[in-house]
Amino acid sequence: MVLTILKRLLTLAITLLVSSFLVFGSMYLVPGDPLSFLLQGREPSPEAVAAVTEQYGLDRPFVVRYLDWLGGAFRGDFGRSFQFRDDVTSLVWSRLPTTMALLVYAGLIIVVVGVISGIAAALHRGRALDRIVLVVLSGFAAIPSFVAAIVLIAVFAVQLQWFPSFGAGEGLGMIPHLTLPAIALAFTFIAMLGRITRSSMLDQLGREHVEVAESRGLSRPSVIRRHVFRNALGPITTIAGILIAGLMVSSTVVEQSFGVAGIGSLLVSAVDRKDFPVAQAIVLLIVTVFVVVNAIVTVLQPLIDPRSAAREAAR
Amino acid sequence: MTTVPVERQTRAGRLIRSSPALVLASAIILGVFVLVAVLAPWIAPYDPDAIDLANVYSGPSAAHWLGTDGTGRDTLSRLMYGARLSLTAPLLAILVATIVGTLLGLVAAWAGGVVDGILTRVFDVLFAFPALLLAMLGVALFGKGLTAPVIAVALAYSPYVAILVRSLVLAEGSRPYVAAYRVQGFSGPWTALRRVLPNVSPTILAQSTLNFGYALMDLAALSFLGLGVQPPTADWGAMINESRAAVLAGHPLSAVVPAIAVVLAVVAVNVVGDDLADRLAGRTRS
Amino acid sequence: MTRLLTVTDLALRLEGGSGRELLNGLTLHVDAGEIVGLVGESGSGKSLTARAVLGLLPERSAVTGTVLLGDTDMATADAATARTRRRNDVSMVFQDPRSGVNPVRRIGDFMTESLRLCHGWDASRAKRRALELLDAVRLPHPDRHYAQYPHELSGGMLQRVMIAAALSTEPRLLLCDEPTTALDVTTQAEIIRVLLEQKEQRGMGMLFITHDLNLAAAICDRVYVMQQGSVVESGPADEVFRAPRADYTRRLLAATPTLEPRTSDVPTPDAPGTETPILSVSDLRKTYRTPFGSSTAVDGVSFTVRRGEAFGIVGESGSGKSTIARMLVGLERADSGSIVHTDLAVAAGRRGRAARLARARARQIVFQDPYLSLDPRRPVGRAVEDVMELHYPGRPGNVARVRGLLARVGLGEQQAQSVPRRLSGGQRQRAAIARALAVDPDLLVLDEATSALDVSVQAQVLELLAEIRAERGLALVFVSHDLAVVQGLCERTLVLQRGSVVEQGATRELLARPTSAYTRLLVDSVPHAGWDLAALAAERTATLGRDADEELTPHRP
Repeated sequence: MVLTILKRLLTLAITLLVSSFLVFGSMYLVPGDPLSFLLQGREPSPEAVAAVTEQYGLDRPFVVRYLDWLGGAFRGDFGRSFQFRDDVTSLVWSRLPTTMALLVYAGLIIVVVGVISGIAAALHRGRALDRIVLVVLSGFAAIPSFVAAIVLIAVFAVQLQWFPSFGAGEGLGMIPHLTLPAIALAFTFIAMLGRITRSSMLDQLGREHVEVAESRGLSRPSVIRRHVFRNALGPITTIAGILIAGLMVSSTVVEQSFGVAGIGSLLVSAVDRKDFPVAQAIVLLIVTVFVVVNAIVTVLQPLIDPRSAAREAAR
Repeated sequence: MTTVPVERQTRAGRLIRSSPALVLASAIILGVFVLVAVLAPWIAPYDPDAIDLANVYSGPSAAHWLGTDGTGRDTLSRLMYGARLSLTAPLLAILVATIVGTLLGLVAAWAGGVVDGILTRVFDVLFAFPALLLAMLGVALFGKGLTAPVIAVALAYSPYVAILVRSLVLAEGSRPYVAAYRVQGFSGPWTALRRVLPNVSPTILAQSTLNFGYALMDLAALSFLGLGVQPPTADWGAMINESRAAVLAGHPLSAVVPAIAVVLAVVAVNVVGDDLADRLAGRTRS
Repeated sequence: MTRLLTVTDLALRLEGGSGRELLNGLTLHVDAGEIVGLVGESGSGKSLTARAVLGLLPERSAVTGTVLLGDTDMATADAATARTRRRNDVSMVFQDPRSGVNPVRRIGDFMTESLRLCHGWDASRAKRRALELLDAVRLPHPDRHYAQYPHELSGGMLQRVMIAAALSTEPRLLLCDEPTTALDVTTQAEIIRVLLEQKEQRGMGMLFITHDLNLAAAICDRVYVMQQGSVVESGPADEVFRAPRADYTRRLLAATPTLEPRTSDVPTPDAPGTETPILSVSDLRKTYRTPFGSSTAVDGVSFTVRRGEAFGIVGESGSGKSTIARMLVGLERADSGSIVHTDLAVAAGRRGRAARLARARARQIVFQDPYLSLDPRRPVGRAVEDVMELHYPGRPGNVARVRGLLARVGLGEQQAQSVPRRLSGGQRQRAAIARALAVDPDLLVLDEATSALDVSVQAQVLELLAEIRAERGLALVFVSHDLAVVQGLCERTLVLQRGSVVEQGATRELLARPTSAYTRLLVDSVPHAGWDLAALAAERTATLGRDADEELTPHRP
């Protein structure tokens, strides 16, 4: 079983490697020579040309460039930003806490509301609560974060003035500042988590081992806890990676709407102003987070579903 | 927005048993959107780019049914013209994603072995790039506009379609009736294309409909960020972006209208898509 | 005798739309120390009755009548009271242990759950009890099993775990819902033995639900025969089965294949002539490679099938019989050995359309699951037409032939236009047979083709097969685990164990005077009157070895 986990981790490592290569190599898909791509919009002064050539190793063979870049990435060196004249790593690093605060806040809302609504709907299947939850979740699924942001700002920030509409605040002040952004971010993911929780729970409720537990006289709460929810966890956790990557990407929109200075808005400005080193670094960061989360889920899977390791081995 | 890879038909059945009235209403809404998009040049009351600085931020009136925006342009006309890009771009992207994904998934499932292994690795890599992220990368590389993002979104959703198709074809292919076809003398490719694929296509269609909704939101978000459709072109996402200052100044109408359009379109697509899936799949369920 | 259960006039209907009546005035009772059988086909309501006794009825159902468990009426008891009864007085052994035991929790958890949560026992006391029980059901290594997960145990072992857990609360009444249906016949015997032992030791009363009349006759004291929600007959088991009064019971008994080697009804093969056989299989071998090493599915199997003959292949799960069936029709390729189909003028490895079609016309197959073996979107008439059109495109009279074929198997115009979903199990299987006969093959392979059908339906399909066979001179290869069915149909039979041929020959001889210990074990394991389970256990140990039931590796093909 340990072997299968290692195999799976190796696969993830390869995925990360290939993804990094794609991120690195994407630059070369652009027609024309890489130098002009990187310099576009900026004056091609000799110093600028030399700096870019140096940073991207344009005078060296392709493979060497990639390895250099990869090595740099490992060391945390992504070169220098074109627009900020600062090195990429410290730029990203300085803005990371804000985004993380936002993501944690949103994540809490999503997990609590999503899972609870999914469980509630499943346990009252076909009845009023279920229908209400489903309608609400269907509505949430259609509210992208930029729509939510605008509406929330219009109502709660401008009209009612309950929350600020701009910035991330400091320390504990981050909570009121990040509330609307977190909520805006949460809608579609609550819908996703809620739906999958509901269908996973319903799937388990129909299983015979639930009936067997009931026949032994276990109380309903015990049965739900030990045999329904516990078994439903598997499918729910497998979407963790996609959920978190999606959150990070959607945070770009939310940060932009609320003027929050996190890495999301940094990415947007980097793309907008053709600051490729920064854009590249952040894309790689998000992809890495995705792979790492999947790796964690992989390691935890056997604890959640013991058969998965056996099934993996049989493949 | 990213999707859940496999929207399985579990014993729980469908997600929401929509009343026929709801489905009809949704279909009508979609129909109206499509019609409006196609006929915009003929039925829009104003030129979507016509600036009228004397009339900024006006509320709904007889002259402007949905008011005007920050430069006096008629919101209703912009909404109509905006429908064209806001609807066709994701449609194109998902069409491509569905075709490419179905082909790859079919090949992976039918060929098996090494081919399957390689394709699955490819999908794994693509999964690491959420659609909006890939679209942004596309813009970073090829500049602003919709061309690169549409291709990027198509690429980003292909693996979802592919692994769905792969798992459906594998499951279906393991059923004895497929073996029966072979024993009767039908060829492998014929069985796969003319019998197995049609039997699984309802689920593929349903997922693609949902994907259309997600792609719509992704591309609108990109335009909202100012990276997709560029001003002064009308597009729902771009319209919301341009109206942000208006919202802060207390004139939310020109932002809320396109926002509602987006939500309405996605809800309608989801309702119709779920219903379609249910009715088509009902024919193959036991 | 203490009366444990009294069901009086139990009626159950579903509320809402259909308002279907599932149970229709059921009356029965069970006393301590007796085994009461509840027999019937699918849809008879037997499982529902068991659930009514447990107080676990479907939501939105209207119940009338009483279900007295001790002095509690389970039909009207509130949830808490019903739960208390379930904790103390009644337990059920369910049919499929693979779905009945939570796959993500360990066996130990499953065994002690009820004791810890409902009876407040502490963990160590509960564990001791669990180990005792695992030992009582004759599991060889209770300590090891305690820590294992369900997927590490074989079906038979898991069913013993299920029984042990059911006994952990010392119930006075034990319900058994088809507890051995999912198991091999030799494993079934062991499980039955365990059940009967425990019943004796604890003085329990047992309500034993089964569709297998032979099994009911062998072990039950009294029996109730159910049909569509009502009891059509009841009484002491040997009376009911020897001299049934109800029409339905008589029909069921007539349809139930019984293994009676001494009967002269067994078809006898003609003396071997000089005719070439229609099928010659020689030294067939196949090995599957798994991550756990290789597993031999077929190990040097040889046999011949004569024209127009019905040839049986019997074995338990893992014997390789299905693999052979699939190899006969080209769905699997053998590693070595040959399958020669006389009249097939196509070399074995030839590809191409013509070769494909020629092979299809030589031999066809009917699968076990009637629903899954038909294309769900195709009306069955069209499915048969498709085959006809493929082989004889544009031939005038195709449609008429198809209609004729369907009529021959007993399907009318309405069924021809129906999709499989709308047909019954028997109708689906007939459609599958019609489809197989569309190309007029010389050989028809049947892979457990009647195993998933109700007894009466199975009888009809077997009769149909016998008739068609006689009409067309069709050769049959009938793969099955059911000795009685094979005996009634096949002139010669081959017995498989773990991929090897144990013996083969004239069916009658084989079953009446088996030369191999394994065949004898198979025959003795079939439930019959005067079944000596202790002796059988000894025979089983001697023949299969102590560890025969210990399949700790994942499922075999």
